[in-house]
Amino acid sequence: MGKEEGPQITRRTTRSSSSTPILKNGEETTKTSEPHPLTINDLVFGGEPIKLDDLLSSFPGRRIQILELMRLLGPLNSPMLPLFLYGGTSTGKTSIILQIFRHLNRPFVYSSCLTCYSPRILFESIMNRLLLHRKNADNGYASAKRCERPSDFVVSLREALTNVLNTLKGDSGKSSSRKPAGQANGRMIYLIFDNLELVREWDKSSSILPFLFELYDILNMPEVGLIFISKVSPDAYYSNRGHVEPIPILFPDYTEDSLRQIFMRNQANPKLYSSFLDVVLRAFSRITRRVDELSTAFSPLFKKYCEPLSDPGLVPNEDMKRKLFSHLQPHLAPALNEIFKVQSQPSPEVEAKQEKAKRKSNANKLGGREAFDEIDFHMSTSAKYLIISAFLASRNPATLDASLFDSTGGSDNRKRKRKSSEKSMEQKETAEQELLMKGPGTFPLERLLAIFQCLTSVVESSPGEDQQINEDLGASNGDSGLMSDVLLQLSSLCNANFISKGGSCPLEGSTRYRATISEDLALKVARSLKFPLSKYLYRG
Amino acid sequence: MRGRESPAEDALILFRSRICNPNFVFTPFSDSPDSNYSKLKFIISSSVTEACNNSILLLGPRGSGKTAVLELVIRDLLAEHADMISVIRLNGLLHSDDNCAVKEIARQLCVEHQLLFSKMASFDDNSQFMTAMLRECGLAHKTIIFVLDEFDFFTQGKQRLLYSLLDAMQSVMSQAVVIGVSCRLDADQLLEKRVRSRFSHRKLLFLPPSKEDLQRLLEHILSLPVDTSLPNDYAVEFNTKLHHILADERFKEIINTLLNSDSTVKHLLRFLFYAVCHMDLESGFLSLDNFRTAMSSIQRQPKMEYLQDCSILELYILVCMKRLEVKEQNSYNFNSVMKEYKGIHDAYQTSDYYARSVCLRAFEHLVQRELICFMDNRGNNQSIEFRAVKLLISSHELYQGLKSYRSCPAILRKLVDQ
Repeated sequence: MGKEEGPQITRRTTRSSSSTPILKNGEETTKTSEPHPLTINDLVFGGEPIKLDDLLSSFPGRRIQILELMRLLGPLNSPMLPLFLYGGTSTGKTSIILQIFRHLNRPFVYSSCLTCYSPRILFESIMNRLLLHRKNADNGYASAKRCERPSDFVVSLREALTNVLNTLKGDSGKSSSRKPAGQANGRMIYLIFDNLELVREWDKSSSILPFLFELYDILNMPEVGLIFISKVSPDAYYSNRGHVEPIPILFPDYTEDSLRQIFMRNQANPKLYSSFLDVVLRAFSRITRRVDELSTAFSPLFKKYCEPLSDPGLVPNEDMKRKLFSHLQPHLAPALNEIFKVQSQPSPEVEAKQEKAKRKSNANKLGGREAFDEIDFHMSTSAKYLIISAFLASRNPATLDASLFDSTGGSDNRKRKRKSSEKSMEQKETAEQELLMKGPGTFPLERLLAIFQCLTSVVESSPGEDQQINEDLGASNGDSGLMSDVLLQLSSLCNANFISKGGSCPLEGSTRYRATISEDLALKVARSLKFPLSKYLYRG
Repeated sequence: MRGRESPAEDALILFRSRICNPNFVFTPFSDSPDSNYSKLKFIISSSVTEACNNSILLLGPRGSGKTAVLELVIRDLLAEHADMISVIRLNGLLHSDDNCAVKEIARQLCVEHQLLFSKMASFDDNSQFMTAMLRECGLAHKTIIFVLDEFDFFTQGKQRLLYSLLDAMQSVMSQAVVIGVSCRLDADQLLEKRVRSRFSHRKLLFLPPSKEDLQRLLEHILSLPVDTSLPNDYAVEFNTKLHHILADERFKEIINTLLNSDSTVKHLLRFLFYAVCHMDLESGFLSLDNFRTAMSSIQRQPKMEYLQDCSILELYILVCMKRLEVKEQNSYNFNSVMKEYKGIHDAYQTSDYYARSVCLRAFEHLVQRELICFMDNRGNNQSIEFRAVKLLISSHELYQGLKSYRSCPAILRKLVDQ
């Protein structure tokens, strides 16, 4: 298509667009609302500048790292060796370096290897920023320069950097004392590469990674500073060719005290939240110390903690604290075990059902466990049967099918019920071990369909079943209608990762499938259908 | 806020610009007639003046100053014989492909001689242009110096570019010098037979600096000049304090430890950059502490750092995996680790027993932190619980990590001790 060649080619007008009258008013408003062309001052962070104290107080527990970064960045216009910031997830690397640049008001170009997922996109996005090019409808959303290879990138980068630096030099030479707000400080420009660990998975990573590390030496321009941000430490990037190591700065995970400070920020009722944290923080930080995971775990718990309080602005005294704690305590243990689950928004019917169930079994010692026996998403009946068949096909060896699924719909009595000897106990153990290690087996499509037909024919033939099931399964045409429905269901189950493709059969080349659901989920599904799953499972 | 910047800040900016400028750093190495600088300069200048062809390889570990010394030589030669030299620079990382390389040569030749370069020119056009230019320059008694950085990249594949360059040099008409720079000390063994026969087998080795050279280098970088805009007494006092530090035994020990791991100049420069950045701006003088902080930042132990970052559940998983290894299970996966975890809980009644999904997530965190990894790539579409894993830290590191972990449960330490 000719789109790449630029806006000179007139677009083909479709019938609908040529038939609607052109709105003159609409055109004018779009013209006036177009953003102004980019200038050199758009390379800074923008917004209100912040002072160093504000910066330090907005990142509790990161004082050492911020001060070290400020020292390494140095005073205005001092050259810098490349820096490498590394640390776990949500430890504040990106936000701290961006806020530091906001405080220093120096121009920089930020690019993330997460959004720029190939070398070409990475190079072109950096070039667009440096050439102050904005993609809009006028230029057909094309980049300023086409840069596929590192060699082209270096040539264009050098040109663009020289232009930018000349502009900066001119600007800083002109205004000596009063600098208008928003104008860039200094004559240096910094390139920030975020999410560097993703570059290791690119196709050309063996040449792109050393290229990025050597970029500083290749460019040989002291007015350019390079900063790399990565989740893994620098020793994961060592290659057998070696490269010049940048200066590493570690962002360790937060300690408990820093976590407390972080969570106390911007709280409406600090004393209440502080007593809440006294209860939960220590227990939860034994599992994880990541801020994002803890905050998703804490917010529903805090709501529950505040439930008995009539006035959310109340400052709790010791009595109150004890009451709140005893109210929260039964919910703590299950919350610990669910800490990484993102709760789906329950529909009002599900909530009403849960309330009913809770009221029914208030005396039940399990506490909140009965809600966990239900699967919390909706599946059609045929999909449930399909899942159970897939689970059985993966767990049982194919040779057992004939005996398990005979015409009477499965064996109700196991004929062999001898007392197990020691050798068979050992065999059972090793078989169990193998099962742990090997994982679910693969099966061809025909086997799955055969088992499915068998199971559903059992259900259809047994009397007294819910009429609805028969309608779901048998609907109108008998076999052919069922089959097409089943294949559709199979593809949606594959998309939901309940069944995955497990490689092809070595003889025929047809694909084999594998059920990737856990036994718990299979039991839940079977229970919802009142299907005796355990009778069909092969137990070694 | 322009105002009078303090002299300490001026000194800091001066040091940083010196360290980031390789030309400045390697100048003291160019004095003696024995140095690589003098030898290289002699070779190139003799081939320029005598109008003959030459080729040479500069070899040495990464960061020992090969390109820096070469740039110094070229800069001085350009100062002496401005019209008789033109320089073409290629880098193996960027231009290892023949098309790319020839295009880059043509582009640089065009830039140098103010000709228009067309990006659409084909490989044949560019190579014809290159040979034509070589002939013309030879007729005009102008030497073209080809600098090939990361020379070992050019020896991959068919070595067409090297062959055409070295072949073009065989003719009487051309005047060219080919300088290869590489970190592989056996770079000349990588050449093909026909290329090697046209190569002159001259090699210059760049060795780590000797103790005297090192001392000279330190003084050269860190001494303040006395007669510039910096206040005189400040500079003099700074230099005296610096001499004290450089003569101190403890400083010498720090430098020895530093150079024991990596004795290249670049490593030393990184260390100095870090130390200089931590200079106390209020007093304006360097102290031994700055160098000590720099040393500890270079001596990092990344696995230990990651172990300190782990939560207690993640430590449990690591200890379970260590125990499975000790029991000599060759391959184990998440399910076996869970079995071991349950076993520990049953035996010792720990309070840290969490559900399977929580442990699976902690397991994934460990994979992200690169403390454990999967033994197969892409896993045959197996779910994460069934893929075989292995530990990426040794038992010694695990033991040390648990010992220095702040609130490590005693049970873990006991389990690792056994």
